[in-house]
Amino acid sequence: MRKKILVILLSGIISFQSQAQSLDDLNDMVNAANYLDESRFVGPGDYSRQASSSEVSQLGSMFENLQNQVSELQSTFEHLNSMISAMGSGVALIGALRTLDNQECAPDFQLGAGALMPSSCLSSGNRRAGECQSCYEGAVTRLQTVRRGMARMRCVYMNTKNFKDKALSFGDNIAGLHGAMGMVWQGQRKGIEDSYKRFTQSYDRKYTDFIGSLHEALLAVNTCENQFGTRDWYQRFGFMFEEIMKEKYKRSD
Amino acid sequence: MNCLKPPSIKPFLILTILIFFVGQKTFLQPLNMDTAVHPTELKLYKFDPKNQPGGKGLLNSTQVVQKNDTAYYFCKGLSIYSPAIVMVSAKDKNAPLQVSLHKWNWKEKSIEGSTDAKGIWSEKFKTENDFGIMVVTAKKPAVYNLYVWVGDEVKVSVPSDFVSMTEYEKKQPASSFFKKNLIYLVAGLLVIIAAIIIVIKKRKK
Repeated sequence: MRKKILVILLSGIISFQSQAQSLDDLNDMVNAANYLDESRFVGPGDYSRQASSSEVSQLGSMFENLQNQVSELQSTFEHLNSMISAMGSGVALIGALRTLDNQECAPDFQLGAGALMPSSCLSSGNRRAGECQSCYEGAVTRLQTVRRGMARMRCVYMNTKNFKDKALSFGDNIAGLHGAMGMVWQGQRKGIEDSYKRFTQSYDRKYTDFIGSLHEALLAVNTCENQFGTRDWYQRFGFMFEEIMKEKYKRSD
Repeated sequence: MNCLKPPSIKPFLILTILIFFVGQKTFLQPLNMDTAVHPTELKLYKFDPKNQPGGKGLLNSTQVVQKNDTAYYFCKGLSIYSPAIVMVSAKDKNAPLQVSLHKWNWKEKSIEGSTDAKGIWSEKFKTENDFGIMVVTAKKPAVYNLYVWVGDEVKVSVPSDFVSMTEYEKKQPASSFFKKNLIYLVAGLLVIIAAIIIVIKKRKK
């Protein structure tokens, strides 16, 4: 009986302490999430305070509670919550989502009808369609992973090129207006050009790596085709696809 | 039977390295030729809201007291396959803040707007690697909070590169016709050539 009472008391104390702890955490988070009190910052400069890694992590676990706790920011949290929740629906949404800038690159997977390759697995007459499909699944996943990576690499290239072109044009215009800036700009201009040159070299190396991975993925499809469908598939169809991909992702400058 | 290994992650490691090193050295933030401008990097940390599994990703939450006309911030390391949200929440709902997002330089605004009657401005988009945020206030000091949320990468579906053999042949009518009937065509051609030779020989006689 005594033991039972002791256990009940102890669990009560532990539960009270953990509740108090979580309330303290919540109060800390309320302070970290609320607006700053401007009267505390008397200096002339701006003041900003970024939530730390642990505060952001706590914010994640207290997100729902905070919406009710920080009255001044209630509508802010509700708004953020609804925006995040609308974004959570995934694949279809990311395709429709606008890029930050109109001139920014968005991944383009279109290759045209001429690039389509025949698959024996997709043919209705294939008696070993099941086995064929399971072999194909891995090969196709591999091919799609490479395709996603290449499209992203292309965007990195397009954006960097665009950034460089705009930077040079912007700098040239400014330097032309102010004589003294001309000398400084020449140094900066060379820096940008050198960096871009290094970038293109990196791109070419990564391009070669990706083409290598693409070749491996197509050979994997070829293995499946040799087993279940068309012999010499790579030589007849895969090779052509690889050439189209090489051309599409080759650097143009 | 699965005859293949799982997809290699090598290209993605390489790409991450590419973005990281090249981005670090060259293009960290919108181009800045004004040495007085010192943009603040907004650090993104892991964010996993309990009530929203779709909200998993990275977050920056910054509290600001802005005493200058303009404040500059930037974020880096975003993926074009991740959704992103930028939101500004002003304390003084009657003093709107002008907010603009910049991809290339601080002169060109990619997206712009101002805080509404609730003191809020927000925008959603996708971008690769980095971008800048500029906040301009007419009334000083301006007190506001700035949030940048970046969702986990979405596995974008790539359109299939395959068609059935029948469909493939249909799409190439000329070549498949010749392939299928090659023997007959060659035989027909030989018959015609033979006939021509016979006719020529007969005429010579």
